[in-house]
Amino acid sequence: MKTFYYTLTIALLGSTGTTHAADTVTQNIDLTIPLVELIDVENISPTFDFSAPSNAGDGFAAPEGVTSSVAITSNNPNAQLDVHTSSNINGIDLKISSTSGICDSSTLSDRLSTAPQYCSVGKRQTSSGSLTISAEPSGGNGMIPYGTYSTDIIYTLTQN
Amino acid sequence: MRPRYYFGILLIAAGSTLALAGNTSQILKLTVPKVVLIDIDPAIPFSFAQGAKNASGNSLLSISSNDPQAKLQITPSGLNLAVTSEVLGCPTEASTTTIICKVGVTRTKGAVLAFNATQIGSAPNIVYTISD
Repeated sequence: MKTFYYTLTIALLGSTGTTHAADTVTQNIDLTIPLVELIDVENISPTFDFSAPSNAGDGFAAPEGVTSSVAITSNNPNAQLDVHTSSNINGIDLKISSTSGICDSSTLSDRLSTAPQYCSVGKRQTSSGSLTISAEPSGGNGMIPYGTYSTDIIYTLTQN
Repeated sequence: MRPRYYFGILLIAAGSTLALAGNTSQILKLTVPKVVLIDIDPAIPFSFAQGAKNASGNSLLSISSNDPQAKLQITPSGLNLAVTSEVLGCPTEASTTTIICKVGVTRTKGAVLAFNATQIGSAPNIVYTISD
């Protein structure tokens, strides 16, 4: 068995000394990776029901925040998440009180408005992100004109 | 001539201009019930001294109202009454009939509601009513 091993080694070394005609081969391989920026926020219609105060002089308390799961697939290092509302509501502040697993460095102020706000998302693949939206009386007065209100929170992954 | 082999592999990762859907939205619905709570303590903060026709006094006023149309009606009986408040929009003139003060969307606790009264009949009294 040992003898066979030495013999084979010599044979392989010898073969490298064989003369061949020059031959250059180049393969160009093109790979196309499409830009993908996908975001999905579950719970597309959260509701907030304020409870009336029971004593004169008391204000409305903030109802409990609503947490939604967030899935993101992004292969753009420069992707940012733009969050804004379709309209402002008189007397109510809408806030993002937490973003987990969504942003690299969040510059979102906690008060949402029609003005876009951004946080850095970059390359990310997650189905376990979450964000919490809360609603509370604005201005510290605790009083909100009665009625039923609706607004959209719009989430957009931007390319830069 | 020594053979030379070049195996070149060029990897090109090309970004496409194709952008897949990168937006979604939530539709928020918010419900705020109507509430108009007014507390005036005491309800009648003055009394007439023996033989006197005029009296004055202050009550503590607390309000939780989110109805822009809310009003407080103050109806005296046996009195010519003037009320003053920095919180409520009340007429400045004294009246023997219902005084209507604008409440609107207001929240206050322990504000002053001042009364100046002239007795014009027996059994003076004040009735408070909230209206739209």
